[in-house]
Amino acid sequence: MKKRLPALFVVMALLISCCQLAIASDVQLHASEYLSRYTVALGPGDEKGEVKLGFSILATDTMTQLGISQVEIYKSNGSYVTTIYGNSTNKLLGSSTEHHSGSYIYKGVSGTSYYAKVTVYAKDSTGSDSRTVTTATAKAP
Amino acid sequence: MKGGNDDSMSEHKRPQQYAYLEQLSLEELKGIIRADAESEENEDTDFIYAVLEVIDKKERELPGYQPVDVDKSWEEFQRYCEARETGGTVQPHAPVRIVRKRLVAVAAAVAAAIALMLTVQAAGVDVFGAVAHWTDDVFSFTWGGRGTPERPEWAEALIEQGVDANLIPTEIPDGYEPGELFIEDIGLWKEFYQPFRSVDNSLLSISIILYSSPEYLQISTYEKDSSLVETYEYGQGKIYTFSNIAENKVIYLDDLAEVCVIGSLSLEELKQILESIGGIIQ
Repeated sequence: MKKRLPALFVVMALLISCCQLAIASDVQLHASEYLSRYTVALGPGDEKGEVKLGFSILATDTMTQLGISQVEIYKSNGSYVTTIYGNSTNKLLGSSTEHHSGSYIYKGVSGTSYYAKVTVYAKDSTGSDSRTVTTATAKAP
Repeated sequence: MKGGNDDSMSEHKRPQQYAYLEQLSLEELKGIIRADAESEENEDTDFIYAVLEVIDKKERELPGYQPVDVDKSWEEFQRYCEARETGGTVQPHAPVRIVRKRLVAVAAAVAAAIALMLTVQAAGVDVFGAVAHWTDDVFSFTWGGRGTPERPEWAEALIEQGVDANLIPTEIPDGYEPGELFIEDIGLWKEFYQPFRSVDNSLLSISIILYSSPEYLQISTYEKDSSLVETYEYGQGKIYTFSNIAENKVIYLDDLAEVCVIGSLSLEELKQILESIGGIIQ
């Protein structure tokens, strides 16, 4: 029994050390070398059946691509509706900038409430980073 | 005490000989107060009071005039001075002429403020950009600096776009040049984004976001590392500071307005920038 105690201490020390590393690693995951701030919300649109996705993405510096790479639309009951991919045409993605913002209109069904899972994205010559945020629900007028 | 009291001023009858003061601009009137504060000669106290009275009257006539929160302004002023004193050798010995006033309104408070302003300035801090003036019921700060107050073009542009001057930082470090102002009115919120670049191309950005509803206050996410978040009350709002790897962030939240200053400068430097909100660069 006495011989086992030192070994037990070593194992415990290793476990504690591993836990600390995991915690530190987890915390660092929340920092980003590419993304600085993202503001995303879904609100009712101006026209019947529309909801409006507003977004503003701020990067840590000039990015070759910055904005929203994808938007998944869901009904408030959780049923999947569609996915919209960001590009320069729909203006969800911008290029050569540290700041990109705008709004995107989704035409749904009047009286239906939607929410969105939005992936914000930043990329430069050294790499890229993304985050997915889920909006609150908004009812199409 | 909050909300001020118009009676104290209106009850005091201003001598006819000072009627011409009505013709002077606010800046000229405040210049008189400043000159008086810095002078060792005794000025006619009736004259000084008349000037303060006209300043008060003219400010009330300004569009968008809002009554001053006296308690808060006084607390801010005291806090500001205390903060400066802790790092310096402030002694109340400056050549200040104490204004004696038969009305309770101005006297002791003006003298104390002028003494503090002079001593703080003597310690190397120029607080004369703001003149504190008050009666027995109201206290406020206004511009009292030398010359004509001037804001940088980018700040003027923000004001022209409807941003409250009290939300605009004005102390940008030397070497940073403003980039193009970006304005986006999304309906859910309105954003003003003003970037600056240093000579070595470091980014310093100021974002002012005006949310249309309290429910949208939660929609902004700031990336941060494991550093601690510092928070403290400032003005009518609260300031939050933290870092995200190589960049630091200082955020001011006041009701539905969020002002964010981000850059590679130190947190102290960014705080200094943010705490210049509402000020005016000479």
